[in-house]
Amino acid sequence: MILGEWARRVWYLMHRRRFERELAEEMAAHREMMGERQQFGNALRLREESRDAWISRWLDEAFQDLRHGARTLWRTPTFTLAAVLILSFGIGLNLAFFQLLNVRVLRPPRVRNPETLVSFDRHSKTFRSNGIPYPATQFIRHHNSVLSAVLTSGGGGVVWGDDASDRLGALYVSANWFTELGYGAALGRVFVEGTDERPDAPSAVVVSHELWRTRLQGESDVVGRSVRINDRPATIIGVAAKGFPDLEQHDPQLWLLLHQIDRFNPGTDFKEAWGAHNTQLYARLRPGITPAAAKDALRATVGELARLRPAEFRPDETLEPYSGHDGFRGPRDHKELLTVALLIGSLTLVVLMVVCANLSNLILSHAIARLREFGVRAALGASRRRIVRQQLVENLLLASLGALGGLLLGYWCVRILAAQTSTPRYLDFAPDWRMATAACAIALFSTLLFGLIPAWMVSRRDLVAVVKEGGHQTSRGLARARFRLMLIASEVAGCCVLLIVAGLMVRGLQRLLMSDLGFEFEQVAVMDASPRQYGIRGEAARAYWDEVKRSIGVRPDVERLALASQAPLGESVSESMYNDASRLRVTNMHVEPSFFQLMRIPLLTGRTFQPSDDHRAVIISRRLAIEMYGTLDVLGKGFPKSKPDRTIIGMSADAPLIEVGATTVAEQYSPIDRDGYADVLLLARARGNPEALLTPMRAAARAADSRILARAGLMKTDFDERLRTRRLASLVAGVIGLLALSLACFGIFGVVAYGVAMRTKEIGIRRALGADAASVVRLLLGQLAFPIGIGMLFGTVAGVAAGWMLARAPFYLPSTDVATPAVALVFFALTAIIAALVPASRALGTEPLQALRHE
Amino acid sequence: MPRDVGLPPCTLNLIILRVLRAGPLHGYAIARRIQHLSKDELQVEEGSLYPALQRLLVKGCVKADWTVSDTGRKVRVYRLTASGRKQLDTELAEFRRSTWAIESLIETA
Repeated sequence: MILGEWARRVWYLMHRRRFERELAEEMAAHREMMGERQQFGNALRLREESRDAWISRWLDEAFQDLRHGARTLWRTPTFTLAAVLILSFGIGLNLAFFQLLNVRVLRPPRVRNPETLVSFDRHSKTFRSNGIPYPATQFIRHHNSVLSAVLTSGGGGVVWGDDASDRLGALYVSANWFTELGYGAALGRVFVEGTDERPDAPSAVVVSHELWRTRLQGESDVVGRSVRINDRPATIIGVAAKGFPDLEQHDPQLWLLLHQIDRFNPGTDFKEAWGAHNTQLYARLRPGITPAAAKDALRATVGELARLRPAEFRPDETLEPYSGHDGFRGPRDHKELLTVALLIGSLTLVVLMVVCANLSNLILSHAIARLREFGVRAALGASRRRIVRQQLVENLLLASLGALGGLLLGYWCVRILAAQTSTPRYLDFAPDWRMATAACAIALFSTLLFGLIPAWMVSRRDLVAVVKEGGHQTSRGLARARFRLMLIASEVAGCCVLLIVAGLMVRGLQRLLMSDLGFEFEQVAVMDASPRQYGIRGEAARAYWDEVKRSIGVRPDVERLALASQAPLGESVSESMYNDASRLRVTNMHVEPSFFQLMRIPLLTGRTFQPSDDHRAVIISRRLAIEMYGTLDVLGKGFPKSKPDRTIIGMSADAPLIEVGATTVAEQYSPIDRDGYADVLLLARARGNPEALLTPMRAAARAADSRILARAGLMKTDFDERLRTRRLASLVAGVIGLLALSLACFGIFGVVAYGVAMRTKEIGIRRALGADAASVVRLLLGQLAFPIGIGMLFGTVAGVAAGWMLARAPFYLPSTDVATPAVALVFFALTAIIAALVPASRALGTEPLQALRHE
Repeated sequence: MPRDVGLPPCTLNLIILRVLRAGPLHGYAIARRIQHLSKDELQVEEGSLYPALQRLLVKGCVKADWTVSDTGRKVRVYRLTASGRKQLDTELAEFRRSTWAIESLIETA
């Protein structure tokens, strides 16, 4: 039976030596019995044929090759180490990138059936918003035919315990949040639809696994414990499961019921406000309903909403669905992400190719040094194919080691990157089968790339003749091999691209950090008191802020105060789009007159707001003026151009407050209207250190109304956060560029030096024939100029193309950089010259007679 | 002089198994037995015998053990296994069928 047969084969393999010995004894006995005179035949061949019965020849030979390869690699540790290291680097980089892509882009969030889960944004011709008023979500919940469940979330931080500064991230959710996403509790229970929505249900909170482990010391009796949230009592009903994902990557520590939000924020009108944008809407589609079908079916619902509340909803609005399968990203974001991914992916692939070119050279040199060995093997009867195969196996071994190293390096890199970019904790970066497959694929690919061609090249030589010559031969054949020169060229090209891109990224970042942003934020503190949450609205809110400003304003270290509807560089933005300037996204801000001076945004023409201005006054930024009107002379014109309902009273300099360095955004400022005071933030510019203002600001907020627990921070922190990823990316790019440069120099050095060493004999001949040292050197260097030049040309062209692509969103890098390719050229040329000179001088020093010895 | 007639390779297995049906033998004895039973018509070379024996070992048709022969020499004796017996029957039937087919062809064509 087949199983038995394989078992027997394995048994043979394990006791191979013994069986072979026994066979030899058996045949010796046979010979004896036959009598010495008779022929027995080629005993060795007999043994081999017998062996073939047990294991197929190629398997046996493969094992032999493996053992031989391992021994060879072990005997040349420097070569092996160098090769494995640079291969690990190339593979690891690709793996790290792939894993990041995998986790952030390709993997849908780990919830139940992400394909049937969608999120909804409000879309209309003039605005988009991902926030829907809470009463509208309830209306949609009860007036649709295509959704089997509706989930909502909203809210922000809360205060935990008795300490007012102990703020935690919290999320208010609908009662079906956990069950719909498919997660239960690690301890206790999660929210339950129906029971927890009753008006007399106790205030319930679910804590995150992380919070339970750290703040609550992982005690098992937390369920049922009473805690204070926003200074209100609540009962812990359970601990969320470890790794419970958050759909918006805010990493909340607590979950509370949206239904009970007014218990923790008394006086808030969250649940009744129709004009707010405070809730995120998710839903599970009924079986068989596609997102597009849901969008169509919900048009009727939105139409009803428009009839009910014509002030807040327009009849042409739609609810735009985003599938959970794509991570709730819209097609535009998805495409952008993929573009970025593709770009970075190509860069890492280029690195890999450079690495492989390098390795190829290394291996080729290594192989040529062993030509004598191959010659001997060929003389002993090894077929060409066998020798090539042995080389391949050796390279495969190298590649496997490199892949292993790459996997480790890649995983380690990803962990570091994840920690640096504050990726939410629940994203799991553990290598999965996809990454392992990628590792194997890359290893195989690189083996073919660097291993096959040298092996083939070696096999083409007349190996026996090599033995005769003792390993030193003229430079014909291999040295003239166009292949090696091509390798130099491709290395140079690849490194050029990498260097150019890296240089661009670094320069772009420099420009960002040191250039004029259009506003000054280093000394500014921001406070968010959210009076609306406490039921303070309209005139009461205005009075509240007046009180707060008065108490802070008397401090000598406060230079200026201003209220604003949004925090510059903050998270929540309200954008408008205008048909007259369709290319731009316009930040819509409501500010006090002192805002411009506080943020140091100069007013180019016109004036700032005055108390007499009402909502009809507007100040627009320079870019918006040019885009919409084509001129800078816009004072007094109606705004927006086609349907003017406001008048422009001033034009400000560009100050991209929502996205640093962006070129397709503009700003628009209006005065704060009567109802707007409930939603504004307070900005304060300090004369000295802005940190000193934080506590007094919070105290003032509390003093003006004892219920209010405000949040205060520095604008600088937000800026740093925003830039952190980009800074990191530039750093990484810089490091990669430098590494690529050194790799290229290393490779060029190796190839050139070896090539020159190979031509020792030729140099000897030339010298014997009367050539002087200078002309020999000139000849050598001249031949190198061609491949390096070609490589530079291709590399620069490709690099410029890459730079042009990177000049667009979302990188906004400067598109021309002459310095970097020039530096690269100098480096490469220098390296090549040194690489040629060192062995050349040695060759020139050799006695011509010795060089001619084998003629 | 007995020559080695070119045997089709499958029949070698058949012959060896058939010879072993009578009882276990060591390698040299198998060769001698074949030569003897075929009246010196068939002489199996060592180059064919031992590889064939190894293949039979892989397939599990025979088992081999070391014993001491009557002359006191250490020899390896091959014996037929149960699956070997089955294999023998199958191959015998196959062989008879094909020879009958070839014979009737020669007779009638």
